[in-house]
Amino acid sequence: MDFLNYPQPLADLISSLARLPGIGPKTAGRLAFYLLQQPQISQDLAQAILTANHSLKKCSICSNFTDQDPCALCQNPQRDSTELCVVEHPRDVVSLEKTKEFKGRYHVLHGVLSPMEGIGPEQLTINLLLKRLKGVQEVVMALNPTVEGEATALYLARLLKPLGIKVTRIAHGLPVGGDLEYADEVTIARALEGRRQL
Amino acid sequence: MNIIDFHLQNFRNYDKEVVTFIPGINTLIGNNGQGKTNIIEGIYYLLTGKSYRVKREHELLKWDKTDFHLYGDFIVKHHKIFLESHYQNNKKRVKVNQVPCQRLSDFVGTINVVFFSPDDLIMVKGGPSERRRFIDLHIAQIRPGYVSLLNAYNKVIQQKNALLKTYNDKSLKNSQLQLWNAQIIELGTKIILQRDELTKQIQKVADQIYMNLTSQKEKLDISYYALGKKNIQDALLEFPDLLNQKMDQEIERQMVLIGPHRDDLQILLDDKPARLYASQGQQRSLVLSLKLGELELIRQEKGEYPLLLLDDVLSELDSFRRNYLIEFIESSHIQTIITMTSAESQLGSGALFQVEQGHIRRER
Repeated sequence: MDFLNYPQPLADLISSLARLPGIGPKTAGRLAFYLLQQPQISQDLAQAILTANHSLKKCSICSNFTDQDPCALCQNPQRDSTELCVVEHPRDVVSLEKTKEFKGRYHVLHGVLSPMEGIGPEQLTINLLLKRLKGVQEVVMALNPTVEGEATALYLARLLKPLGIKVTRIAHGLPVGGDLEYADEVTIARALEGRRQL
Repeated sequence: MNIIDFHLQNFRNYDKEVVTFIPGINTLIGNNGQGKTNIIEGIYYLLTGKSYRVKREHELLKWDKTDFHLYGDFIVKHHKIFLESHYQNNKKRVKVNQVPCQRLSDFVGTINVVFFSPDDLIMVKGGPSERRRFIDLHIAQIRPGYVSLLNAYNKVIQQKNALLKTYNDKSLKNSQLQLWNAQIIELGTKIILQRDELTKQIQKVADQIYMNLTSQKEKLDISYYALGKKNIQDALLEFPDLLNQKMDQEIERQMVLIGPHRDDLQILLDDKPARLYASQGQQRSLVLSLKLGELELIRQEKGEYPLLLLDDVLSELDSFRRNYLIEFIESSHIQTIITMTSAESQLGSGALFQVEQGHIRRER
């Protein structure tokens, strides 16, 4: 570690940056020096981070990040409140919204069940989900196809089905516009399992 | 499947060496510690992306070096394949015909290899994990996707083990254990079915080979025991109940007690368990039959025999078994690389290489 060769404030800046996902010690060093040479950018960045941290909170209904409570999606009367889409992260809401295909409402779990990381149902926003089921006819599980995602979907399905709610899961398989040739065997096998009649 | 030439750089005790193999039997001779096994390990690593000796690739580097490079020309079904593996800074890069390969699983299994060393004898006397490893490695060679199935299953087991260690509230735990059990059943069933199918295939060919090896006197019987049962259909039907029955015990012992990760292959010689009764000689015949059976099955599946690597095995076999093996190899035209300390035995018309302190010289 060459941290020792830097003055303390600079070393602190580099190690803070290096804690961000996707950023290693070298990139952190480069970013830190860039920020020092661009005082205006540093000022704006610092302000933006503080503002985002202060003004953003979790929506009291869907748990997505928002600057107003309830969030814009939850307040929008155009959205179909009989359909609810459950996702792992706030960024998944953005991915789904970009498609403009889903007209219902969202619920953000902020994680999936993973005993290895100490995440059980009580660490997720499941209680909030159970409170907003009035009038909901279908819950769509849009969780990642990992073993943890599957376990979480199953957990929720077992809670929701006895309440007479239809529980569905998004399909997994080949990417659109992709080539069969470039897909891996597991994806193709999954896609075959989920084949549909034409 | 043939290897034509093989280059090693900074790998184990090699600086920069190249060996050109012949299609038949290639024998590497030399004293202990000269680097015979390192060549076999290098070929195995190039073809499978793994070493069977060490877990961390770092240990494969020549002393004081920071990167190693292995490459070679191969022929599969009349196609020439140039395979490269470069390891540097804890990263490994694989290229197939000069094109970078994104994922290891994309090329593993293209060129098959069967490896046999005296350590394989542990398969008979050792614990169930040794036998599961044998069958799993075999399936992985011919069924793409099996490795990711195993990985997913193992992840579920890890998660369930973690869950068993965290909670003390029993009712809460029960409902959550069910979630992982559902996936243990789904993924576990797929694993059990494949292992059972491939075990039956191996049984068929290995039994024949074993009969020949023992002049028709003894009968070899290998079967897969799923969840402690020989009847796989029964076992699968009872799988959910068995998981429920074991739950209390699992909570108490804080570990997953049932599933294919605890299954076993039962090997019987004339109806007696080989694990308990097989003599040294019988163990050798048995492992030899399994390995030759594996060769035969890969040929049936792929249309060509895989590469055969025999590390110090011949000295372990008596002359009858040794002759049988050599005859099998020669009559089937299997490209074979053999290491041994001296050239005392007659190995047909093959090539002979002398290995001395990291240098390889062809003698014949």
